[in-house]
Order: sequence, then structure tokens, then C-alpha cells
Amino acid sequence: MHTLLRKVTRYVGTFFAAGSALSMALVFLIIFINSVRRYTIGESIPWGEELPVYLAVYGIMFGMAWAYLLDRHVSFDLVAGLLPKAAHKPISFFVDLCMIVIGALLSYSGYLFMMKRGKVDASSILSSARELRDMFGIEQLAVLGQMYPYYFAMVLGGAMLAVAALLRLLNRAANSDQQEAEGAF
Amino acid sequence: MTYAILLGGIFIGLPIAFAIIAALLYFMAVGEFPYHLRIVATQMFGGMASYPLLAIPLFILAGELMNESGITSRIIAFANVLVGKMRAGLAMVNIWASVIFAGLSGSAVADTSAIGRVFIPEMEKKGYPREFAAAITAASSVIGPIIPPSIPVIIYALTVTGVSVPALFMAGVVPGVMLAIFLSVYVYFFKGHYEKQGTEHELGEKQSNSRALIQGIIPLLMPVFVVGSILMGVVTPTEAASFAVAYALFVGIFVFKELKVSKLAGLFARAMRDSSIIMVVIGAVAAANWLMNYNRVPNMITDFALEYMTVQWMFLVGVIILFLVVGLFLEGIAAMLVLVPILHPIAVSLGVDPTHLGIIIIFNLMIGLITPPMGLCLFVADSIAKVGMAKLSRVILPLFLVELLVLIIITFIPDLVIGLPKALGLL
Repeated sequence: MHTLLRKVTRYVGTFFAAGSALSMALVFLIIFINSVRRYTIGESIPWGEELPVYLAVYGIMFGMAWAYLLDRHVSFDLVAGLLPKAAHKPISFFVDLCMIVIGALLSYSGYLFMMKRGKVDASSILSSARELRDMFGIEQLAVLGQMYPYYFAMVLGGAMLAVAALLRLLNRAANSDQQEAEGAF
Repeated sequence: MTYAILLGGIFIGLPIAFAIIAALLYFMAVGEFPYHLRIVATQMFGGMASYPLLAIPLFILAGELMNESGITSRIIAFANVLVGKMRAGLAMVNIWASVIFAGLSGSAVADTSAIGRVFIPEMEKKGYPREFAAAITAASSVIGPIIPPSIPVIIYALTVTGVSVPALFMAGVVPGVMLAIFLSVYVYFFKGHYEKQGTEHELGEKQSNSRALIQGIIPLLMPVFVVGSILMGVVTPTEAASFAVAYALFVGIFVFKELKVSKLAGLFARAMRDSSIIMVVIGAVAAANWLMNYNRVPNMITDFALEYMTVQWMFLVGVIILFLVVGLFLEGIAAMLVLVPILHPIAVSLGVDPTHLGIIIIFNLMIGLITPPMGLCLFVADSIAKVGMAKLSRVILPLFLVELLVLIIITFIPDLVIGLPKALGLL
């Protein structure tokens, strides 16, 4: 059971880390290339400012879940620290349980948001999405020109946060260390 | 109930961003029209999805890349050539290495961690008490976010309308350097006796002074290049941050040859993870601010405050006290995002320059990083020195007072803050 939990924690940690790294790399490359193009050939990519913003939101969601798995978020643990040591574990369990609920509700809130507002056009990405659709003949690619795929980041982020909290709770119950949460990075 | 969730969550150790989100989710779930659960995700997304905010992960990435390129030892060797031979030389090198480091990372916590690992053991060997070595490392690292490039400056500029990032960057230079000078004067006169004479310290690489200077100039060019290009109006702060990343990659891989391509994925991942910790707070506070604005809370507070605060100095003293107290309990970025929209209109009504106010607030919040119990730099310094928070808190008190003195000076002599941006035509 312990080995399975460690493996799952490692895989999930690697997944969160990979999402964070990919998003960071794409954000950097798009902004850098777009800036260089603008200052050299005087032309910028139409989606060069809008797409990195949405990619960054995805990166934040991956990073948020990974940071929780690694216990990196800023918290105020002075009051909890004043309590007897025997109380620490139940409090930590309770915090993880709260985080599972918060993650799930955030995901649901994101879903409601996406369904209500997702039809809106992503203005600067719209024409490129249509070009992609025409080029590949895949009708579904046109959805990239709407906000659905970008608002989905909130749905995914909440769900990943709940998974991270669940894994921390299980690791705590199994008295397992959190080293595996670093993933393969 | 909403406040109970917020405060209860914070006190049991729920991360601050999620305590705010939990309280909002509850409020929106039980509230009647127009409140709706959807609004939490809507406002969080809106708070995080901003092009200027992308400068934050990019600057953090540039700092990570520079660190991995062995920059810390070069900066220390450079500072050692400049001030290492003076009385209390090692403490001086610690302070001035932080000033140089400030131009690279813009993060006080990263500075404490990088500089502390080298300096705390070395200062102890040279005769300094371990707790003082940890205290001066934490105290000098707060210079980082005051001197450009600075993450809190970018966030402040986004919160307040009509304030430019270049003007704020320049406004932080004099206060940051002043803080370094005041800390240097303090250690020179009051802590010089600690340092054993006649023992060589082993900081940085063994190399000639000229080589140390040349190697130190390469990392120094990054902030000069970044800030220079923003000031000349050539690039936006976000674009400048992407150039900083490209510069750090080039220097690390081709000049210093210490940055391994195989490590890049890990560095990119960590940069996004550390950025997300800040960005989630921004998103959560954006959602909370929507609720406050919808209920006209800032307007009510402004009207109330203006009834009693009729002169500028009263307001400024109030701001200092408010942020020092809030900084004890609340994470700096969250405190700034909640309070700045409320304080800004009051400041404008009383004729306080928003750029001046920004630097006062950021300086205040940086002091919060060395005040227990939420002083993050203290925690990081203690995690390296392992002397205990109680001992460290006692030793840092005089350094805290020095920083408070500088804060009071820059608060009541505005030209020290806005003089440079004015001279450069930015204000």
C-alpha cells in the first residue's frame, strides 16, 4: 500500500511539475519571440499577448496544486504551533480535508463560470483558430477561438488541488514523507 | 460565518489564499442574487489573467537561472573586493551582496536563502555570533524588492491607476541604497568588534580582484539592461522580463558554462510553482476585492478616514502603523492588494504622491519580512542558522529599528523617493 501511494504521489508530482514547466517555457518563448519580432521586423504575432496570459493561468493551476503537495503555500501556523504536539496531526488532517472540499468547490465554480461565459470569443486568437480549422479540416479546432478551453483552467485547477490535498492526507495517514511529491524534476 | 471561516481557516494553518477562497465560496454559495458560486472562479481568473502580471513568473525564472549559473559566489566575490577590507568587512559584504542580488531576483526570500547559506557559516568562523549572522542576512535581504526589478512594484502598479512601473522602479533606488548605507553604518560602529582580525575569509572563488570585478559585472549588467530598456520606453516590463530570462540563459550556458540544459525543465517548473504561490493570492484577493467594491466598502472606509485624517502627516503615520501591524499577521502581497485600493483615494485626497505612497508601503511590507511571527525571511534565515526564532527575534530588533528609521526618513522627505524619477522625467 505504501509503495503504491509513493508511486502515485511521484507520478502526480511529476505531472504537476511537467505542467508548470511546460507552461513557463511556452509563456517565455511566446513573449520573447513576439517582442523580438516586433523590435526587429516590426510585426508581432496576433495572439502573442493573449495566449501567454491563458497559458500562465494553466501554469498557475499546476503550480498551485504542486505547491500544496509540497506544503509550499504561505500559511499562518502560529496558533496551530501553540497547541500540544498531539493536536498537530488531527489539525493537519482537518486542513487537508478542508482543502479537498475547497478544491472541489473551486472546480465546480470554474465549471459554472466556463458554461456561462465560455462562448465569448478570444478576440486575438479567433482568426488563428479558424485558420487552423480550415487547414486541418477539423471543426473542433474552432473552439480554440472561444474562451471555453481557457476558462477550463479553473475547473482543472480546482480538481488538481483536491487531488493534491487527498494525496497529502493519505501520505500523512501512512506517515509517509513527502519527498516523492517533488516528482521526477 | 464568512469571517469565522476566514479567521478560523487562517488560524488552523490553511494557506492564506485558500482561507480567503473558502470564505468567498461559502458567502457566494449561501448568498442571494447577485451572489453566485460562479463569481469566485470568474473574479479569480480575471485577477490572474493579466499580461503585465506575467513579469512576475519571468523575473522569478530569471533569478532561478542566475542562481543556478553560480552567480551567488561571483556577486559575493565582487562585493568582497568593494567593501571586504573595511571594519566589520564580512557583515558589509553580506549587506552589499544583497544590494547587487536585488537587481537580479527582486525577491527577499530568495536572497536570504542564497546569501545565508554562504554567509552564516562563514561569519561564524570569523567570530560573529551565529544569530547575528542570520539576523543581518535577513535584514539586508529586504533590500531586494525595494531596488529594481521588483515584484511588489509590479503588483502595486497594477493595483493603482496612473502609476508607472519605471517611475516606481526608479523611486526605489535611493531608499534601497540608503537602507544598505544605514545598515553598514550600524554594523561598522556597533558590530565591528565581532570580526576576528588576521583570519582570511574564504568567500567566493580564489581569484584576483580584477577578475572578481569583471565576473561581478556580468550579472550586474542584467538589471542595468532590464531597467534601462524599460526607462527608455523601448520595452514593457513583461517584455523586459523575457529579455532578462534570455540574458540569464545566455550567461549561464555560454559565458559561465555552469547552467546545465538538463536542469532547465526543473528550473522552469520551480519558477512557475513559486510564482503560483503569489498569483493565487492575487487571484483570491481579486475575488475578495470584487465583493468589497460591490458593497462600496472602500468608499465607506475612505469617507470615514477623511473625516478624521485631515492632514498628510497623520495619514502617513497611520499608513506606517497600519502596515507594520498588518505585516505581523498577513502575508505582504495579500495585505497590499487588500489595503492599497482603500488607501489610494485617501492619499490622493490628501495630496500624497502615489509613487511615494507605493515605496512607503513596499518598504513597510519588506520590514514585515523580518518581524515575527509572519517574517518569512526570519524563518528562512533560521532554517539555515538553526538558532531558534526567539533568539533570532531578539538579535534582529536593533536592525529592525534601523530599518524603521530609514522608513520614517523616506516617508517625511518625499524627495528622497520621488526625486530620482522626477529628475529622469518619469514623474
